[in-house]
Amino acid sequence: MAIQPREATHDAAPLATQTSRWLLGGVRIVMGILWLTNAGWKTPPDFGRAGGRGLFRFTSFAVEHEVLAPFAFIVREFVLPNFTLFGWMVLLVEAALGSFLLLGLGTRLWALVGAAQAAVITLSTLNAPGEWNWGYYMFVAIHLLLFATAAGRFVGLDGLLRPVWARREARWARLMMRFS
Amino acid sequence: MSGARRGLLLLSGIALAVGLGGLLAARDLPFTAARGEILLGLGVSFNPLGALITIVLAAAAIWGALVAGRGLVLAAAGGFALAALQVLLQFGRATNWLGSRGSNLSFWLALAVGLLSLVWLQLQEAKSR
Repeated sequence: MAIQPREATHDAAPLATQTSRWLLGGVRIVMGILWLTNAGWKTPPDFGRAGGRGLFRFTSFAVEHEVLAPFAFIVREFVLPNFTLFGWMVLLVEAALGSFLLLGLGTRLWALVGAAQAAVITLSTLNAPGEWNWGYYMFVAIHLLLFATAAGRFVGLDGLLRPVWARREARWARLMMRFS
Repeated sequence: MSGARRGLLLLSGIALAVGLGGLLAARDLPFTAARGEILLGLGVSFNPLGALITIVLAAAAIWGALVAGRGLVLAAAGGFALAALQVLLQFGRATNWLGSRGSNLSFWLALAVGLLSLVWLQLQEAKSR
């Protein structure tokens, strides 16, 4: 039986171990479930505008408890007056984030979308009463981690599909290689 | 067993478990109640019809993966895509045949896309043999 030198064991890349891969896949799945769960309360057709509840209320925080003046301006002048369109965009993006992070398909792309959406949420609610700032920073950071580690390659569809995409010449297959 | 078939069985098995849980949660609701019962705080919500449709589609996908072949899995994926479309058309309205909400859109979309991708993978594996 070959004996591994101690240094080789200690220097092995963390993601080379099965445990790390399962853990990383697990974190991605948890983030997928987070988005899936939260797509549930974005309720059309008015997304809470009539009663000042739901998504409308949380989006209004960007103006009432301003974090960044230009962002508050955009929300006040463009988002709130066109809230139905905005509400549908949020519902579709968050539902898709739940689906694709759960599956681990196109994970690097969706992790970036998730980081952007988390940043927008942060800019809306960071200064609202009772919010824990670090939760929002973690929210963004975890998506960046999923991007950096290409987390769909472990316990995800990216891992199964990449060998097939790699063999194809088509432009979409090359794009999927980048997105995964 | 190939990775694609394992994936098909895993996805369909999860769908079946969620559908059965949804049926249990919604057992006291009218069959097509517009407001479904949320399953275990996970966001997905079902009335008995929505849960039964999920169970039937999941069972069809499992049967397709094990016995009947890719056609049945594709049909199940199409069914989940239609269920996701139902959310877009009826969520938040007085009529909501499946008692669904935004989380169901995410869940059923994942099943449709996942099953479709895995059937495609099986086809590619068959071609390369």
